[in-house]
Amino acid sequence: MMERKELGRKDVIIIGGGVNGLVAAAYLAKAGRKVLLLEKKDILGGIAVTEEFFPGYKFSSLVDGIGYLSPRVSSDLKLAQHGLEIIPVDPVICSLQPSGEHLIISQDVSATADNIAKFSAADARAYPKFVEMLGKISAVVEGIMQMTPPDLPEIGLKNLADLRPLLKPVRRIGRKDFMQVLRVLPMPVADLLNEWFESEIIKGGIAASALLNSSLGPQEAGTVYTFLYNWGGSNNGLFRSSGNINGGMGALSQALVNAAESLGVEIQTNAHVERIMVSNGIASGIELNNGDRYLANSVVSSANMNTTFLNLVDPYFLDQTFVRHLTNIKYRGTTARVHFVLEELPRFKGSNGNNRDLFS
Amino acid sequence: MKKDYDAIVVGGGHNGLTAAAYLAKAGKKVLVLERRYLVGGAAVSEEINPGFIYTVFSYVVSLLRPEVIQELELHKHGLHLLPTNNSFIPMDNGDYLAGYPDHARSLEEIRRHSRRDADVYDQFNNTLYELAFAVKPILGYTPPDPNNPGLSGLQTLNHFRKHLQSLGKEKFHWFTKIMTMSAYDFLSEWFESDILISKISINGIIGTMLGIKSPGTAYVLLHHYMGEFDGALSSWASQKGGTGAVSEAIASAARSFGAEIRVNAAVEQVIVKNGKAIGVALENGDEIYADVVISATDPYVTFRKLVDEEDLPSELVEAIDKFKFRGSSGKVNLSLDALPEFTAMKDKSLLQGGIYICPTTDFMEQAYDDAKYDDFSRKPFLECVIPTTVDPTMAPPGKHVMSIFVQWASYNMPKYGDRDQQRDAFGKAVIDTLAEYAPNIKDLILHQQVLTPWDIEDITGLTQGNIFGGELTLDQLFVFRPAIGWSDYKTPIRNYYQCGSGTHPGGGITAGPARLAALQILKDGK
Repeated sequence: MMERKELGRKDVIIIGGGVNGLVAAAYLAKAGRKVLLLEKKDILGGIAVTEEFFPGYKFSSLVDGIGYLSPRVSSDLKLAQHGLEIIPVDPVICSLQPSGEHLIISQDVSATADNIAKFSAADARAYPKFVEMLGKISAVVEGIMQMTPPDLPEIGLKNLADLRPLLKPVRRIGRKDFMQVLRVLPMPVADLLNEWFESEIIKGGIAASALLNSSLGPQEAGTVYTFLYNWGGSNNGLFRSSGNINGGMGALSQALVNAAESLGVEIQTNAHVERIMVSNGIASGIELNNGDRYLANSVVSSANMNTTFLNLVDPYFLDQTFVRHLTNIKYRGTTARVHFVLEELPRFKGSNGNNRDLFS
Repeated sequence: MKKDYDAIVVGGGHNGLTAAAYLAKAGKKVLVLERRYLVGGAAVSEEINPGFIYTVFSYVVSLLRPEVIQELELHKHGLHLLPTNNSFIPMDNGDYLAGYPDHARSLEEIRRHSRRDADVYDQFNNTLYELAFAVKPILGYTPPDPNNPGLSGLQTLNHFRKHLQSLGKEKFHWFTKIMTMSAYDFLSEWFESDILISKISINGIIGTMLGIKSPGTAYVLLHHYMGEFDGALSSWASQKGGTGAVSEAIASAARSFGAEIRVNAAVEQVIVKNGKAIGVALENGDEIYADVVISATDPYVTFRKLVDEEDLPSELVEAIDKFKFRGSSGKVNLSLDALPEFTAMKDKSLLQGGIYICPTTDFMEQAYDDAKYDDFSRKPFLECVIPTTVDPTMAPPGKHVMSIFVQWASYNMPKYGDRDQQRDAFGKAVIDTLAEYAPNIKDLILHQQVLTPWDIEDITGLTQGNIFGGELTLDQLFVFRPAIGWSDYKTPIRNYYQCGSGTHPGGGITAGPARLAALQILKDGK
């Protein structure tokens, strides 16, 4: 017979010690809350982990690169001081071609244009204007990313504050360019690229950044949105983020853990939350799978929607329409990763012995 | 300045005829100039095979604006719509899914495939009707110029906002889903039966170079729920005598108001002087002058063929060059010695409605796959109608005509072989596919007309054979149709207007664009 223990009351309990859980914990602790973070595995970081598959060889096993790491979060939580070191890299995109003449898109726009000229002179001329235009309109999508989504359709004056991150870039780019944003947003990225470029190699190389981690193809609508999303969220203002974290993704998690702990967050691993306790329609705490309970004024779940609402909460407390919409959320996985241990750097066709310029 | 007419309409398709009718009704002296020997554009009935009348391109009517029918009194001019509420879809296992005019019977049929789907079906339709009602008003409004909306533009937007808010949260949620999702994904949230999803998803891809799993197709589905016939939404109808008779009815109405219609009168150019349209020059050299010239052709012809580039701002030229006209469909018209026998069809009355070859959602998506690479579907989606089952006058006694709408076929498929070769291969793929479900069809064919997208372009003038005068994708609708700032039927050339399907509310036999254009012209005091 397990003895259930009531282990005390916190201000906030956070379920899940992935990147989002750690960041939420840090911000709340920074604001003075007493925060407890519970992670069911024995390591923290969620998808941002470094694993040593073979002795001496470390891999960012699930994702790599700095992704959309918000510079704001990085500076608010002083991640650099807590061990996060980002190594900027160039090129941004290297699209290998069977001919050995590779497409190299680097941060330097005119150097890139010179490289593109090998495939198409017209595309080389279009490229800098394309980058300029995309830089402008991606700001709108970036604004969207920073908004707390309004509760449509009941949108009114009270929402003006929420809309501010969006209104600023809209006002900055002006009405004419904003109409262009509205026009291209629903388009497939292939259509957008067909408007600017003629070379399939250029179009293919650029389109790839719209398709990362998505289940869509370039001829499907919605891929301009994902394209702008990746552009706007990039750390270099170009196509997608490029940069490596010294130590792999696990180093990001470690920096976040350091930051959170330095702010007073209490972190427990091997702590598997079984259910969220609800009384009178209000979340009152959590219960672990060993029966121990914690009470809290707020419970924050960083687990996915289905886990949170269909596993951790008694469905009695949920609106049926809500549950139905929940079960319709799509989680179609489309990516796989293959990790290699190599004796030396691969030698790609066409490069004159020196591969360094191809790697990022 | 000498003038022969108050207004000249270039192009005698159903929109051109409608614009002419409204202007003539308002007292204007109107001339319609049509290149072909008959009016109707893509809504024509022709005796391609002696004794057999083909409804050559379009074949059903649904979205014809009720206010147009009423205001032009089209019933007095021969408009006679026959409801076709039967449908039949054979499946590969010998089973089928049918639809009936009787609602209870249709539900029973669905229940045969899935009890759950039958239970949800009415709620689904009600939700879509409500969403269509919310969105439909925008079909009747002139889109505002986002650069300069003006008071009426803002009023339009405000009305739209109010309509959306009146939906309430739950329906608004479905509204956002339907505007962004693929038909397949959207329908999968409601239904489990693959054949039912396949059937309903058809409406999401007609006339588009998209597949049922492409985002944006759920919207097109909604567009089709806005169809209105006798006030009942989303009913389809055949016209007695084929869709050519619809065009003839509108032409007759136009003539009754005093409009003049000339066929075999191809227009070469609009005559522009000092930034103003003053008339047209025919291919034979004749010049005819008018106060106003209205193009009822698609935006590519309107802006890139009928006028010179120098007379247009470069932004508009660029926008029109980017406007997508990808033809995605072909048509096969057959003269038949007798009615075809579908293996899976027990109830022969189902021959009177729409017969669809789309046995599974995979079939639909794979048909689209072929087209993505500029080719034609090796096993295409087919929508077949046998008009002689409701209007026997279209063929000799006992014989029949069959109209087959086909997707997909790319305008660019000649890149794999010359036009004639590709047309033959395409026609063969259609008949072979049909024969899998109606094995006796090949024995019954007396005559066959195969129309590829370039054939459609050559005959009707529709750019790249796109049946809607420009694709109905979100980036090409409403204020974007056909270009930002030019969605209110005017053009940068004074007294030169546009009224075809390439303007709001878009394609299909609706007469919607032309009515709004005509009202705009009258409002401008022309």
